[in-house]
Amino acid sequence: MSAVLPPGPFAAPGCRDPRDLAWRLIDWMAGSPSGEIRSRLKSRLAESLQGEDWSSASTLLAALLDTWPLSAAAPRAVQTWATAADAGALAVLARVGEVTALAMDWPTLAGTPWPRPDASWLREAAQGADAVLKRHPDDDTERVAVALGVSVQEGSFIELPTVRRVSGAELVALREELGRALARGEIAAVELSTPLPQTAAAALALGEVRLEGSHQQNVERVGLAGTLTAALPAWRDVLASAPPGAPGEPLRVCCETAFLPGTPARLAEGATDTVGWLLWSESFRPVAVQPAAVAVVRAAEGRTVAELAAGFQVPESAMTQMVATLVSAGALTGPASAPDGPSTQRGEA
Amino acid sequence: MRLTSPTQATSSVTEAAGSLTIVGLGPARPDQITVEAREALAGAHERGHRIYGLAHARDVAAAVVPGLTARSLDYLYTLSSVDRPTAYRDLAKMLVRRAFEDHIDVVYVVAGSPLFINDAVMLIRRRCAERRLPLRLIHGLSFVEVVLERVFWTGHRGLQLYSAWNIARDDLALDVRAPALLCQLGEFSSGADALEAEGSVVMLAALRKRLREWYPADHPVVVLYSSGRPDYRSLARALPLSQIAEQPVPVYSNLWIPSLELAAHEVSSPEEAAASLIAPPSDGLSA
Repeated sequence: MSAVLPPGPFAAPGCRDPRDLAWRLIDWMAGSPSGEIRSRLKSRLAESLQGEDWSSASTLLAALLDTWPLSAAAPRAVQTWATAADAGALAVLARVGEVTALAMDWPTLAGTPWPRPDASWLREAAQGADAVLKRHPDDDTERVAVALGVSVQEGSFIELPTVRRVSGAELVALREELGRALARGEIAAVELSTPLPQTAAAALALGEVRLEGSHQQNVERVGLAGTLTAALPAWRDVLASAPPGAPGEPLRVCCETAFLPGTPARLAEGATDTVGWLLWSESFRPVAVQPAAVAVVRAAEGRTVAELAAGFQVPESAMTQMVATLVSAGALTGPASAPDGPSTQRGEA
Repeated sequence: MRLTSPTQATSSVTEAAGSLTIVGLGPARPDQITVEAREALAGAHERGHRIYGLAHARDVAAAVVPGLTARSLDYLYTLSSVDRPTAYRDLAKMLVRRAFEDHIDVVYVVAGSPLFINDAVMLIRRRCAERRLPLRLIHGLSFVEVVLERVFWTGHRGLQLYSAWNIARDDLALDVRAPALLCQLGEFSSGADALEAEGSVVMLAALRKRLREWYPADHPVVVLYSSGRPDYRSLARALPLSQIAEQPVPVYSNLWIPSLELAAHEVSSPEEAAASLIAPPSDGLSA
């Protein structure tokens, strides 16, 4: 290897370059949610709980839960992004970037969810590199070059739709000029380099920028990559509900399960009661349930309702109702829809 | 390497003088929109004009012209540091600037009639008049026609039309010899929280106190409102004046206050209206 491209500002869609550390980074991120990232998030969550840092714990719990759908969605998003600037794929990549940065305790490029990998990751990814090719003013090349102990060389710059950078204090004075340029499509978005003053005039000016900027919301969410796609869907909207299972016995398990300290919202308020979670290594939303439901799922593989009722020493009618709920949530199914043997059942702590 | 977004690659700006059209969409139902408004919207959509509106108006416009998307001005109601008069001034200034300084064809869609209780439209009209700028105004059915469906008013004694705020807080007085229609009954605040219905009882209590200066506690009044989606039927709830602050009302409710002398003729309970076959069938709501 000779020269490499830096991880910033993002992996350019449709042009996977073997020298590009940005592509190496998203390949690595997409392959890691169920492995190193999940493992590190668990450790960090435990530390936050120990320190009663509820805000951090809530963020980490949400990230941990998302590692299940990301383990399926992120590799698909990388494949899509390799061929086209797709808004859905970018929404997934942005989330895997956030989750990775949290897990690895890496900073992100300013105003974006894209991680800035540490020196050890860079050195491993760029073995043999003798230079870093600068490709954008905000690509973090200099830091990467220092980490690798190599020089910076001028590369081929990425040309992107124009994003105008202004300070928060300037926004009101520049409002008319920016509004015109945004409305006429001369610029795609405005990036604020410093916080906005807390005034009515500033709030109204930002309102106009968001009203007129074709890619303003995208850029505020994911940085420059957002100039390349249509409106980004919310991460939660990228995910679907798990499809319901089929009736019948013996039961098969279709999900993974975990006991975790709360939901993200409740944990933010310091409530750490154990909550059961139904999780899928697919692009499905995690579902919070009573811990007893998780216990039933963990015992259900190959069993009948009557056997479960006897095992848990509850009336069969009550177990029938609980199993029906779990089947409709896509956690359990009858044999008709699961002909290929044991499912993805796996319990987490 | 050049990466462009599809949106930006296809966007274009017409180098023209720019224009500003205000389109009234009527109270709510797409079938109440005028032919002129419908044609104007379809033409604006086809020619790629820049269309702006608040939530409800955007929904109506999209229902009338499939595929039409209007830019959302809803943010103006969410800025905690910006009161509504300031928001309306800012909106008027921005739309006039966009049309005549930035030279873009602008369409502003509004609910109801642009000329009834619409401060932003009034400010746009004034601004255009002062600068001799051409403004096209397309009328829409106002809320007044719709709410009068539920009461009996001939016009022989005139009609006092105020906002509830005018009476409760601006110290304007009513003439008890003529009926009155008070609009925006639930608008208790000029801040960003003005659309929260739960706050309306504050305004209703203030209004009741003021009205009691002229009317007896048992004077019959009628709260006039809409059934909402999807039918937007005109509904009425008759009750004595003393009870108007008992429960919240939607912000855009209205209050019908009959004259002292002809109260029995100007108010009809829904049951009476149904029986007389003069008004639409009862919606099952009564005092």
